[in-house]
Amino acid sequence: MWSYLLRNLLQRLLLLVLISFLAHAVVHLAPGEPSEVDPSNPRMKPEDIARIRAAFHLDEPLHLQYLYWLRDLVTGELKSFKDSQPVLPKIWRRFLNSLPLFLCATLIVWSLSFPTGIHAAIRRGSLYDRTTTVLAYAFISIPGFFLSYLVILWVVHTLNVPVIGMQTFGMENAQPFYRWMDRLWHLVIPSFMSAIAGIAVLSRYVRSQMLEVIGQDYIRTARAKGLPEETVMYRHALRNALLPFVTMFGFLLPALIGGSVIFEQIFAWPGLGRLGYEAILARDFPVILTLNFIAAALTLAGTFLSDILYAVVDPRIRLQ
Amino acid sequence: MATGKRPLLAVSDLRVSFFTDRGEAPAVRGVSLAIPPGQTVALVGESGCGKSTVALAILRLLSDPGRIVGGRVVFKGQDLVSLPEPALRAIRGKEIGMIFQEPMTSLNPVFPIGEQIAEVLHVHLGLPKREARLEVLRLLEKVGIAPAARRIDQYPHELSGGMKQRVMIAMALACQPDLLIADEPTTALDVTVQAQILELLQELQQELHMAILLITHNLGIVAQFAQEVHVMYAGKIVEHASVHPLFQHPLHPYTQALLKALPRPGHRAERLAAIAGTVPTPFQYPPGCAFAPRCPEVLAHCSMQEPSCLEAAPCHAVACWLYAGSVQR
Repeated sequence: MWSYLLRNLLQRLLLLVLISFLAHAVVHLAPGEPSEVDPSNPRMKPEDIARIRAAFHLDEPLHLQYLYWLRDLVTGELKSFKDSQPVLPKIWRRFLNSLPLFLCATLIVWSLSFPTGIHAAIRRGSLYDRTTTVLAYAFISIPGFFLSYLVILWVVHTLNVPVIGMQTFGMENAQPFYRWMDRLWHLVIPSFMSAIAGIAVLSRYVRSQMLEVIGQDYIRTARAKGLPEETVMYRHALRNALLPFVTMFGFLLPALIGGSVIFEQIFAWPGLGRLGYEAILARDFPVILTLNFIAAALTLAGTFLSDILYAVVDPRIRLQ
Repeated sequence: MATGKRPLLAVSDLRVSFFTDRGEAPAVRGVSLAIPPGQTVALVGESGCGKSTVALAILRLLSDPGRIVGGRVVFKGQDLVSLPEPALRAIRGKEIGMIFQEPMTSLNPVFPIGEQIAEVLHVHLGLPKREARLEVLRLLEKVGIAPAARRIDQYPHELSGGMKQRVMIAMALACQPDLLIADEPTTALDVTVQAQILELLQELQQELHMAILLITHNLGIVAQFAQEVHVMYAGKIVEHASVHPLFQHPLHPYTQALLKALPRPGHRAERLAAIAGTVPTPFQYPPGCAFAPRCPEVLAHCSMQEPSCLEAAPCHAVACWLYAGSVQR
């Protein structure tokens, strides 16, 4: 098993380098360079552009640029093209902003989807099942950004409270208690809005998974043994139905980076998703590439974790 | 019917239907049978005749869209059809054990087999963990799983098909039930393993003095294993007798055809006789006797009126117009 893990880890490292190289090439393939972001600016002279290109090594061959980027990333010297700020601390600060939103949304999704889906499966065809089915399809179909705007409009109009940003403007000097309550309130709507589609999709998935397991022969065996229905459902069925969701834990990791680009944009949340979006608009290659690198690393780590977890929870799977 | 003793289980006029989008499919249309204590009663028939549905209906294990629509299942004086769920649960796995056709999929893949057997002991006898484990070891040895101490913590996928069926038997017999319902217990197994499993069942039956309802399509198994036979066709019992009369003098043309389809030692050269036509589906039974379209001895009024099951010879009932005249009243 250990040799499997080691081999797998090495493969993933190699893959990570490959991904970063490809991403680097792709970003440079896209039209536009940092020097061309503002071509209509009359004060930008050709020699200025040449100077900018030289300063950012943009006049050198691609593979050398890649090596420069890799060297700077490893030594921590990497700086943003836009404001010459070091990239890693910049990302870290934004990450700390994104983290509460991500945690809240994920917690809401996972804690609501499972009970919803499981109950719908157990009471298949009931009013509860049909209601949740309709709601789920409604929330899958309505675009999240549209619903968010509706909610913002409604909250601002009827409750007259601010919802945009991480905190209300002017609250910086308030007492800590009020400041914290304000930040908490600002967290509520964005996290619910970004969780809604997730709940709709995941609860459907849980329901169908549970229904499939309930139809299995071993569930009939469990009933024939004289076990109470709760034991049959929550021990024999649920344990099997949950297996595929273990893999989904792995996919949660990369969502840390790109999970909420849209919602951070809508709610003016200074998080990682928005950082990436702004970096792309500004052709800020170091930031784009580093975010991409971290996302790739998290994806690979996540799938690695899934493989291990799968072997832990499913006795039929052995890592070799 | 055969004995004067009160039956352990008496099924009377049991009716089961499947309610699907295509309408109601009556899979079991008034089945009656009695199982005396300690005896083996076989229920035979082709695939799709409703015999497994009867087995599941007895313990009310039918899954949607199947439903019992009529009849009684009296076990030790209690009607299982109308019994409240908790009281029924106390019977399932304790007084009536059940084993299934597919040992491969009948065990939960994520729990060790020992735990799955111990569950029965825990729920019905309230045995604590340590004692349950000792009892499971004893049970595993009894059903011939060796070494039990190593096997007890293994998962179903680590066991062969025959082993899994042994585990199922251990599970069904853990509480020493009075009745075992064996729904095609050997169909999914190799022939050599089949013989072992049947032998094991026979041994355990003698030891525990339990009755067995054996559901099978294999007449060879019936001949060596059962005392009484019910032949089922299209959701009804068409013939019922003790094993010897049934094999010596089958009355119903369907039973006769089934027996002709059986290979016999010494008759190598003969071609096995197949029954012409196909089994009717529960959605569309032929009018009158359901076997009439396939029957070699069909009479004019067979497809107009259904024959009822009457005793044509002592302890030998048959539902066929051919014997309508010889009925003993």
